[in-house]
Amino acid sequence: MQEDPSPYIPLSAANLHILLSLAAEDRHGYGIMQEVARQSEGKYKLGPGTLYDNLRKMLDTGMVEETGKLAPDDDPRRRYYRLSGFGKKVLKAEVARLESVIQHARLHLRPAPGDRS
Amino acid sequence: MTRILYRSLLGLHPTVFRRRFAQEMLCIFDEVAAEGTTAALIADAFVSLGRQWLFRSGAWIAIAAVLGAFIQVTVGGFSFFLFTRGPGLNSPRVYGTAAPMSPAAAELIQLMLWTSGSLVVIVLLTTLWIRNFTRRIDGH
Repeated sequence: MQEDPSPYIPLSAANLHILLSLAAEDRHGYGIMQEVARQSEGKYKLGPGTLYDNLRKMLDTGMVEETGKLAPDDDPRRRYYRLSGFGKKVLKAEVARLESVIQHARLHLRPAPGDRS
Repeated sequence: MTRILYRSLLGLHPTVFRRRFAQEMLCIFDEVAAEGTTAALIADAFVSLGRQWLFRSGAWIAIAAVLGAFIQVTVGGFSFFLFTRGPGLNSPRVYGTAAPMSPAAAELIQLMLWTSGSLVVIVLLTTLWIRNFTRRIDGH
């Protein structure tokens, strides 16, 4: 299992949204798509092609795992995914990076004392 | 009808991707179709098809090799044709004893042989080089 998240930072927008959607609970593909749309207030919509292309990479790197669980009334074609320990590490590292970016942005975008805008 | 189209597009994906995700993608299509329009999913499937074949399956290696070979052979072929039309090449040549061949035909055959040979060698070398290069990258 990988330990160092730095090679994967910064995450692409798709990867960040997928990991965020799995941070709260295990989800199937369509559930991830809906959660991403909800989190971004409809501004970022993942298609199944983009979703599974990214999911495959994240499964390969060990950020995401398949749970193997299925509810009794679920469509048998569905598969559920969860965030792995390594995936959580990567997500935390990315959030820390984004916080640092926001701090810098706030510092530099702070209005000057005589600035009315 | 759109389901058949979507299913066909999934069927055209590379085998590994298709076996792993096609059923899940079709399941999503059915859920979205029950709720509304599927035009965006069809467009997404076309993009996914291109992405999987060009960037994920390694087919881009062969495409890049063939394109590179065509460019080189075209440039090389034209240069050969333009700059080597000296008296030696224009002089009549006889291939075998049956029938004499015109200089233009001999030149054309020579050019075709050089072009085909160069194409094969360049495609082979470029494919081997790119494969070796990507293996080294994957290893790191």
